[in-house]
Amino acid sequence: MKDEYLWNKVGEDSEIERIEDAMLAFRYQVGPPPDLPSKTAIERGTGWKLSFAFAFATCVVAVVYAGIWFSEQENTNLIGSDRGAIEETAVLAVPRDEVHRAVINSPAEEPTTGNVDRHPAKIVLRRINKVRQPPGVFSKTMASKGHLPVLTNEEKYAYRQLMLALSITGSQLKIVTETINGNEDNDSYTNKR
Amino acid sequence: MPDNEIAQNMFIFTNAAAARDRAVKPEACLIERACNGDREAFGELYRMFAPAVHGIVLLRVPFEDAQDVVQETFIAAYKNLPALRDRNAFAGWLMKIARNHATQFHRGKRLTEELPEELRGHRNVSAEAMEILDAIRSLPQAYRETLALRLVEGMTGIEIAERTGLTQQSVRVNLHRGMELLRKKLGISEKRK
Repeated sequence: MKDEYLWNKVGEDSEIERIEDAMLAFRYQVGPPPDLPSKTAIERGTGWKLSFAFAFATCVVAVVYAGIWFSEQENTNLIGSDRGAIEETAVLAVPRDEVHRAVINSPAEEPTTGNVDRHPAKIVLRRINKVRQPPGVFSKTMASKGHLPVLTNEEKYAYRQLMLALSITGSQLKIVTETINGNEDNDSYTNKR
Repeated sequence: MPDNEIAQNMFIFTNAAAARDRAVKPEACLIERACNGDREAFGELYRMFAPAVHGIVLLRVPFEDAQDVVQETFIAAYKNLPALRDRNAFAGWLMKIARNHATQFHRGKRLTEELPEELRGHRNVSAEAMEILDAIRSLPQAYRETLALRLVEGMTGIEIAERTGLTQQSVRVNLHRGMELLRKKLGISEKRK
């Protein structure tokens, strides 16, 4: 075959043999393998990235969880305080056992048309259902009416800490935004002067 | 030959090709062991692939520095070995690392000019050898790499296919066309025609 020597060095081809001889000077000199880094060094090199990612994810989850927890606490406090107030007022009008049953048991269906049921227990339930509103509605209406949640000392402390953390983060973000926009403190200071 | 017979032969051929592709290559076992920290296994891989890596690197960096780049290539491969999902694709993956490291060598601060004759160390490189190497370097990438492995490293076509991840058919074509181009560049007339 024409290129047999070129393919598998079988046969003869003086031209290629001459080139091969000339290129021997460039051929790879067999030597020992390189000094390989230890496996722990490699793992250490990549480990800090994983640790950083894990720590960051933990922080994010903690902040989100704290936010959810506080909003839940606010809602339950509000509903609880309103429920108590309703119970107190209802007690004056209806027998105590009926009110208690109405609050504890599952709410009855509201009549959509016709005469509204005037049974005292159902009046209480309707009022409780009115109080149970989505969190978004609470912030606008309930807070304006003065229904503020009652927090324990520990909760107040945690709330203050969270607000502090958020304000620090906000100020940092502001600095970054100003730096990006080129409005650094020095410039604004000189402009004011 | 009837159509159904041709179809049957084609089916057998494609099945054989697929089975060949699926077959576990000999280096796959070594890679597995090297991933588990077996340095002997990686040393064996080094002995198998170092000439091929040297041939690839030699086309891109001065030959005095080729040995260093080969070592750097294998260290990088060792560090990233766990990230290699397909153990059968090791050859192509390693050649890519070699090309990248050779390119980085040029981007770095090191000089890339060949040393003068008197400073080239113990290797006796003739002017003809330099001329041939320059001619090979000026060929298209597919041809020059295959030709370097054949003419400089003295590998057969089958070995080149195994070490680079190319098919034997591609290697055969690259060798044939590359050799034609090299003959033209060197001004060698093909006497056999």
